Amino acid sequence: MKVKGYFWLSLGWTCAGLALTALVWHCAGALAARSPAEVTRFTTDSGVRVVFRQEPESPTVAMAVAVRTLPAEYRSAPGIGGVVASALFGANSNLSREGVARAIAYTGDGFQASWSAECAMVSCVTTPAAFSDAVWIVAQALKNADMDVETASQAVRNLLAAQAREASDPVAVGAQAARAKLFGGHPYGRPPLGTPDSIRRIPRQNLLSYYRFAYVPQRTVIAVCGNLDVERVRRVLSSHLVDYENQPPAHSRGTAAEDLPEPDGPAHLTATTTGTTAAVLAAYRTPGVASPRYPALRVLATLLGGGKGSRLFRSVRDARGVGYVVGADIYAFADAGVLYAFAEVAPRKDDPVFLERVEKLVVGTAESVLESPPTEAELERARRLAIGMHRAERQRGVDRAVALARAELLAGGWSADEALPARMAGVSLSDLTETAREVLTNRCVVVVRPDGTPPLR
Amino acid sequence: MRMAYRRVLVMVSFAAALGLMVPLHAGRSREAAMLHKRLSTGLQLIAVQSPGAELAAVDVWIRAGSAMESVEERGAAHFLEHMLFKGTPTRPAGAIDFAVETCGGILNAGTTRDGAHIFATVDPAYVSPVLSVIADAVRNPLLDSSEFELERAVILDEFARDLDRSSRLLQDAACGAAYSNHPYARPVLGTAEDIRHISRDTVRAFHDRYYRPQRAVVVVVSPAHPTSTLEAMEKTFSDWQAQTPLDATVARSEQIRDGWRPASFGPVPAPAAPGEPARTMMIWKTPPATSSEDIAASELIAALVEPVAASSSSIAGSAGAEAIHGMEGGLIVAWYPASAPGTAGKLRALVQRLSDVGPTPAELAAATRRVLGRHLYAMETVAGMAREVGKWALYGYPNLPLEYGQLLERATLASVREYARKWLTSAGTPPQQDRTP
Repeated sequence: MKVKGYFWLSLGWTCAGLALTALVWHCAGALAARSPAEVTRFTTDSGVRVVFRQEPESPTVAMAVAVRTLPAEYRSAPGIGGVVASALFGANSNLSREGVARAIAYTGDGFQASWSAECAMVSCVTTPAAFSDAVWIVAQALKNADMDVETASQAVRNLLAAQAREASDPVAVGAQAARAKLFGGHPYGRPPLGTPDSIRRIPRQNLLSYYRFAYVPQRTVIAVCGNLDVERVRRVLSSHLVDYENQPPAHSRGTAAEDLPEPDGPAHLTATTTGTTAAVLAAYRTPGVASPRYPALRVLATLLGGGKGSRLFRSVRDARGVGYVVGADIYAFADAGVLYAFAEVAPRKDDPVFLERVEKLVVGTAESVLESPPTEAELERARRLAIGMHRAERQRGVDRAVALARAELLAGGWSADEALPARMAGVSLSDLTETAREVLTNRCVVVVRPDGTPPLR
Repeated sequence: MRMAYRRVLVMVSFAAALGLMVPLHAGRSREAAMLHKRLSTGLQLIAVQSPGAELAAVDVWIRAGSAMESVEERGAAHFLEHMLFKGTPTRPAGAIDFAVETCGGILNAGTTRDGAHIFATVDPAYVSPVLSVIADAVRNPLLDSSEFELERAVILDEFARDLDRSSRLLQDAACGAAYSNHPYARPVLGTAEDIRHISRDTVRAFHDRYYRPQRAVVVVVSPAHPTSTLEAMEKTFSDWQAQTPLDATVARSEQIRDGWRPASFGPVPAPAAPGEPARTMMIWKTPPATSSEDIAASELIAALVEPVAASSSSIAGSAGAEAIHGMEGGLIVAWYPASAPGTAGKLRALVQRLSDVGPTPAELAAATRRVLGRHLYAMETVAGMAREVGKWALYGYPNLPLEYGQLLERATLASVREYARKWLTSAGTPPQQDRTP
C-alpha cells in the first residue's frame, strides 16, 4: 500500500514537473516584457541628486526624499534619527506647526517619514497640480526644520509606543538581537527605534545638531515618479532647493564598510518577548545592496524562505506542522546585511525541548543548501518568485519612488533597482552555491521566548 | 532591505497614510473596464481591464465564511482555506504553491465571516495557467488526513499569533459584543478548542456543501482586453458543476437572516495586544450590506467619527474608527484609549448631532476625501482591485469598487443624516438574539 502511495505521489510530482516545464518554456521571457519608462537623472545647483521617472499613465505624482544619515548616527544615541525624521514636518523658520499641517493637508495629506540606521526617507503622494507645493514643504523640512518641542515630544511618544509593539513581536526582537551581535557597536547593530532611555529625554539642541549634521545636499537624493514634464521637475526642485546649503562637516564619514567589525564566529543568544509566541532565528551576515552578490542573495533568500514552495516553508511548516510564520528574508544596508531564516511558533507546554527541535529544523534547513544544492526547478521557482515579488512591491508610484531613491543613494545608482529583476533572472546555480558558501557561515542563532516561560535547557 | 524598510514604514508613519490619494479622484486617467458574466451553473466571472497595469491578479471568492458554520463546524471555513493548498488528486501537497511561484506568482488566501478567497498576483502572461491551478485547488482539495493533522498544528500557531494582533482582537471583540447570539460573534478561526477537535469529515462536508459554482465569484484584473480574459476564465471554469443539489440548510443561508435590529453599545472594554495600552470601544450596529447607498453612508459616518476618536490620543494608531460590512449586518466601531473616558460622551454627542441636523458641508467633504482616499489606495494594486471587486460581487455589487467615487458624490448631508437617524440612535444593550443557523 505504501509503495503504491509513493508511486502515485511520484507520478503526481512528475506530471506537475512536466506541466511546469512546458509552462515555463511557453512563457519564457514574459517576465522581462516590462517596457522601460524614461528616467532622467540630474543634480541641482545645491548638489541634490534627482531621479525622475516619467510615467504618462499615472494620475498621481510620487516623491521620495532619501537622506544618508549614517554619519550622524555614529555620534548619536540610538533612536535620535527617528525622532528627527518624525519631527521634520513640525514648525520651521517660515511656518508654525499648524501652518505646516495645513500646507500638507492642502497637498493631499500624503506625507510619511521612515528611517533605518543609515537612511531617512520622506515620501509623499500628490497631484501634478500640487507638485510645486509639495516640493516647497519638503524643501522647508530639509532646510529649516525647527525641531520644536511639541512635535519632538509627540515623535518620542510614537517611538515609545512603537518600541512597545515591537517588543511583542518575537521575530523583530530576535532580528534586532542578531543585528546587535553581528554588527557590534556599529550603527547597523543598533535598534532604529532606540530604547526608552535613549529617546525619552533628548535636549532639543541634540536634535538640531543631528539634523544639521545629517541633512545635507550631498547626501540627499530625491526621486519623482509621475506624469510631469522633466523641465518642470528640474525648475521646481532647483528653485526650492537653491538655498539648501548645509555642508557636510570635514570629519564626517562617508562609508560604513571600513568600520564594520569582523564576524567573530558562531553565536547562540536568547531573548524574551512580551508577546505570546516564541521565535527561532538563524541569522547570517551578508554583503550589502551595493554588492555584486546582492541579486544572488535575494534569490538564495527566496529559495530558502520566500513563498510557500520554499525549503523552510515545506520542511518546517508543511512537513512538520511547525509555525505559522516561517520564512527567510534579507535586511540589507548599503555595505552589509543580514539573511534571516525564522519560524514563529506557539510554545508547547507539553514539550520542554520543542524550541530546541525548532532550532535544529530552522538551522538545518537554512544550511541544507550547502549539502544539497538546489535542483534546476527549485532555482527557477526562486528566481521567478524573487522577480515577481520585486515587481509586486513596486506597483504603487510611491513605492517605485522610494526604491529609486534608495538605489541611487545606497546601491550605486537608480538603475540598480530597475536592473535587479534581470540580474536575478541571470543568477546561475554556481552563483547561488558560491553565495551560500560565502554567507552561510558564522551563524547567529537567536531563540526568543515569551516573558515568564521557562528558559531553555 | 525590503524587510527593514517596510517594518519601519508601517510603524512610524505620522501622516494620514490612508488619505494619500484624497485629492486625486478628478485626476484619475486610468479607467478600468469590467465584463461580468454569470454562467448557467451560477458561477460569476468578472474580467477587469486595468490599462497600464504591469501585473495581473486572480481572486476566487466563495461564499463560505465562518458565519456559515454550524455550531459543530466552528473553525471549518478557515481550516478549509488552509487545506486548499495541500494537494488535489492531480497535484501533490506543495505542487500548487510550487506551480504558481514558478510563474513568479504570489499565492495566498483568506477567510472572513462571509466568505473565503484564494488569490494570486502574477505576470499577465501567466493568468491562464494560474487560473487552472487555483480552479483545481478550490474544486478538488484532497484533504489528506496526515496533512490535515499537520495543518491543525499550524492553525493553532496562527491562533496564538492572533492573540498579539490588536486589529484582529478589536474586530472580534466588537463582533462579539454586537452580535452575541449570531455566528458573527465567533472568531473567524474558531477557538483553540474548536481547532483541536474539528474533524476532516466535518471540513470535507463543509466543502461539499458550500464550495459550488453558484456561491463563487472569479475575478481577474489584468491589462489585457476583458473579452479575452473572460474567454480564458470561461474555458477554465465552465465544467465546474455542483455534484449534489443545494441542501435546505444552505438554501436558507442564501437569504438574509431575519432578526437584525439597530443597536448601539458602549463604552465596551476592548482587549489590547501585549505592550499596548487598554482601549475602549463604542459600537453601532449597521444594517446588512444590501444597499450600496447604505454602504457608502456607513463608511462616511465612520470617517466622521474617526477624528473625534483620534483626538483622544496623540499616539498614532491608538484611536480610530472603521465601518465593517456584512451580509447579515455590519458595524461602525470607534476605539480610543481607556485613559480618555470622556471620548464616549463626545462620540455619542456627535452621532446625536448627525442624526438631528446632519454633518456640516465641510465635515462631509473631509469625510468623503478620507473614504475615497482609502478606497483609491486599496484599488491602486491589481490584487487590491481584484479583492474589492470579488468581495463586493459576493454581496451583489460587483460594480461598486469601480463606481465608488460616483456613489460618494451622490451622498448628501440629508442622506447621511437620514442614515444616522434611522440606524444609529437606538440604544441596544443588551443585544438581541438575531438568529443561529
